[in-house]
Order: sequence, then structure tokens, then C-alpha cells
Amino acid sequence: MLHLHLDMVPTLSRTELLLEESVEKQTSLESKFENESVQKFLDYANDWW
Amino acid sequence: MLKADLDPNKRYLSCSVIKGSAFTDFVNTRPDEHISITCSFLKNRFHTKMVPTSTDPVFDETFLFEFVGDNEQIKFDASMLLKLNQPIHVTIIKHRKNEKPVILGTKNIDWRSMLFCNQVEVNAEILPCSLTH
Repeated sequence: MLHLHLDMVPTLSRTELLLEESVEKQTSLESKFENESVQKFLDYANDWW
Repeated sequence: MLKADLDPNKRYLSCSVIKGSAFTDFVNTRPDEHISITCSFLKNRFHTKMVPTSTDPVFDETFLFEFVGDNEQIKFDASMLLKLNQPIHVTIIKHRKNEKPVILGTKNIDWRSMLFCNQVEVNAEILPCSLTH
């Protein structure tokens, strides 16, 4: 296990900070898109063979 | 980079490598063996000093990464940063005297939870290369 500490410099003000839900929505959409892309490629590759 | 050198019109990500724990590869240590950590993000890569191997090595070093884009005049706001899907790439490297350095493991760390709380503690489990691909 490696312990790291990450900080934003300069810190984001209260008005600049995003909602936790927005960040999680963006990262989960990216992850879903990535998984779908891999699956589409696998489907294409299997069809091709 | 010193904090005094920071451009107030830019944003930076400060990454402190604190310590390792439960590095079970190093229960039996050798005097000529050291480890170091590299952190790379966007256009920069930093390397900690080499420390003697142990199960709980202490690094205690801080690196500053600049958020850079194609246009240097842009100051990134939180919503722009949210779209920056680039992880911090961390690598653990073992060094032995008169031998090539060996990569023990790597990990990609998503830093974007900082965008709702400004700072994050990360306890990253670094898997051996053989298990990450």
C-alpha cells in the first residue's frame, strides 16, 4: 500500500467546488463508455474471425 | 518548484508521496537494495529519492504538477478539470547496485475527487506488473 496526499493549489473556493455527484457521474460515464468501447471491439473482432 | 515560484494565474496539483506500508517483498532486505517512486501526470514526471528497502519505507516528498493545456493563457476551472481524464501514474522501482532498475508495480490514480473537496488522502494498493495487465 502506498500512501499519497493530493492537494489542489490554489484551493478551489466554495463557489468553485463541484458537487460530489457531478464528479462521480462524469467518472462513471467515462468508465461505462470505455467498457462499451472494449466490448464493441471484441464483438467486431469475433465477428471478423 | 517553490511555492513562491507559482504563477497565480495557473492551477497546480500537489502530490505528496508519504510512505509505503506492508511491502511484503522486503521482509528480508539486502543492504545494496533501494526503492523509489515515480509519479507522472500530464507533461511531467517526478522521482523520489532512493530509500533503503523495508516493509514500511518513508519517502515524504512533495511534487507540484501544473495543469497545462494547448493554450497556456487558460486558467482551468473545476468544470474544465473534470473533463481531464488523465490519471496520475505511480510506479515503484527497485534498485540494486550494478543491476538495471526493476519496476515492481504501477497504479493509475484518479485525482478528480479533489474537485469537490480540494484535498484527498489516497491509500493505493500497488499490484505487481504481472497482475496489472
